[in-house]
Amino acid sequence: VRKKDSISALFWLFLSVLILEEGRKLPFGTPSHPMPGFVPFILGIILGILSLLLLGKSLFRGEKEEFRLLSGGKGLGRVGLTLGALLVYYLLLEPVGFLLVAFLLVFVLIKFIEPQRWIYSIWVSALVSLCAYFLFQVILKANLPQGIMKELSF
Amino acid sequence: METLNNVLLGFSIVLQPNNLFFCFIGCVLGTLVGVLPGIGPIAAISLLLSTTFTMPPVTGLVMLAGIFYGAMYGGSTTSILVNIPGESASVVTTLDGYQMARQGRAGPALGISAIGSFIAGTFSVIMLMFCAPLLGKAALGMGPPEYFALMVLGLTTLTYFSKGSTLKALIMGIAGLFVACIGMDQISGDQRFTYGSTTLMDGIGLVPVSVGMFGIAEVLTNVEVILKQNVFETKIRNIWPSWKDWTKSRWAILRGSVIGFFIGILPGPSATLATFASYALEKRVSKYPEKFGTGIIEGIAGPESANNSAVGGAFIPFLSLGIPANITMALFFGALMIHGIQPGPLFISENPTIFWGLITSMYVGNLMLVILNLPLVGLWVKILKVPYHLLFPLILLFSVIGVYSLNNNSTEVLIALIFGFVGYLMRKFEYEAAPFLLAMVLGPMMENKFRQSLLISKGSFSIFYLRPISAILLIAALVILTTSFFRRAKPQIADN
Repeated sequence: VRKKDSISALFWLFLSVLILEEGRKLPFGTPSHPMPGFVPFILGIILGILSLLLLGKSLFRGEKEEFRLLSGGKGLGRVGLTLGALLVYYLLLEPVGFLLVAFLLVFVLIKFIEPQRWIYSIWVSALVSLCAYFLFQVILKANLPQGIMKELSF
Repeated sequence: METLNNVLLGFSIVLQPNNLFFCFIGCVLGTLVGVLPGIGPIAAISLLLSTTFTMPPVTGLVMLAGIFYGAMYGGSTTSILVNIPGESASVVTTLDGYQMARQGRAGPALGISAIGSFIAGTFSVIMLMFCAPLLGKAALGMGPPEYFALMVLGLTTLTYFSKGSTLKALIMGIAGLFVACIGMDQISGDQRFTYGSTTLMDGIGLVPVSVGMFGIAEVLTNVEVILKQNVFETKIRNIWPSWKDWTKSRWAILRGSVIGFFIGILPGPSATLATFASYALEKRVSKYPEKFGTGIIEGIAGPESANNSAVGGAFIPFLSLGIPANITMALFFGALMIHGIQPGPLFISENPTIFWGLITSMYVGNLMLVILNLPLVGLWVKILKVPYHLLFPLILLFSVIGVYSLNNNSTEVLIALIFGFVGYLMRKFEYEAAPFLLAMVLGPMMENKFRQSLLISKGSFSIFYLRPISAILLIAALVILTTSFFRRAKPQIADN
């Protein structure tokens, strides 16, 4: 049994059922006059068939395998921390403003993923966020959110 | 005469200071992302897509194209010096390139790859000049069923060449087509799978998805197992290949240029495929095939020429038919659409300044790249030594800024994060991102052509097999699909 294939096949099967179920709410039309639900219905059916084929293949023809989704321990922690930092960046971006949030994001990534010294992490994060701000906001006029930093913006 | 006038028109556009400057920026950035591990041309083009909105379309495209072919040059530097291909089209170069570096011949290896790339790039630009307008004229006779069939063939070919299971690649393709359905239905205007979200009403954007899957997911994979690399310490002396090197390489460069161009036209990871084909051919025609892999210069000259030539080839279906054959072309497609320009058979006649400006910029850009890559190779090697703990926060920060500044919408940052995580899981479960993304781009067009075809035929599916071109294309897709299920071994081509 190829575990990773059977797990993912079940996910695709679930998604195909979801597409078919949600697609039912859309007008289907007829082949001569297909409506918005027509193509999602066909895709749902094909996805269902393909996921069943994958499931069958993984159950009956697959070789045995050692499968661990995550490397565990520190590796998992680093992935979680990176994702968490990015999520916090997304949540704080508009209320707090780009400059401060970018500093925090870079600082957390430099300080905690491949741990560096405090002073080094602080000045690199400050330099990177200021340069990014200057490049995108001042030169490329990207209109980054100012948030609480509005009064301080230049 | 007409072509000459068009070429002159192209040069008059690209030699304008603004276009020249952005061509240079594109080449520098392309070489940079080609050199740096952990970020490739796809992520770089996705990130910079938003900056092209304020530029004239031709300037934006000139810059993006510079990134595309610049990465091919830069990729070879890491393959030769570190044994780590900067992107997949340089994998083959590691075989003989790294060995040459170990023997103290890194200079000629880098030199021949830059010279070969320049010759091949020039060859493919000239071929593109002649082929794209011809194909564009031929494509004027194609209707919705032919276009639909062509896109089916494109997606099927991509799944055939994808790494690992064809079944999984097909699933990714279907998932991509489904994601393309999210948003407003193009024909009726009905909302599909949007659940009241205003961001989703416009559909899920290509940029957040490609940044997520190719940028963020790559970083997540790398931070899980901290990336360590050692640059091979060697003095790079005399980058100019010797006369002996040159006589050995010249036919390899020529063969690589021709193979690369024609494989480049095919859908899928054509640049990568071209390098494998060129390496195999050089080995076959060589008098000493057993020595390949020990530092043979033809093993670098051929593939490095092929991957650059393939770049020109890949532009053909995109510029003349309006169908992107790979992810990079899909991003170009997005850039043009944002400017309200529809690539397709009429593109060249309606937008001669963009077409010829772009083509000639590739010629100028190739020249810039030789200058950038040969004398400045020491600088690129220094950049290679930038520690990953500095590099990955920069990649992530630029990713989230690039996605946000697209529409000044933070929800798109969330979408990029979600697809970054999905991309990370996909790598764990051995799924490829390329078929997903290409299907997502082709999806709206495919659905449109499919529904238009059924409207024309009054609901009869026979329209797809009674019209000869459509029938041939669909049969070809079916043959590819069937063979991919019944073969035992298949070429292992990475997608990014």
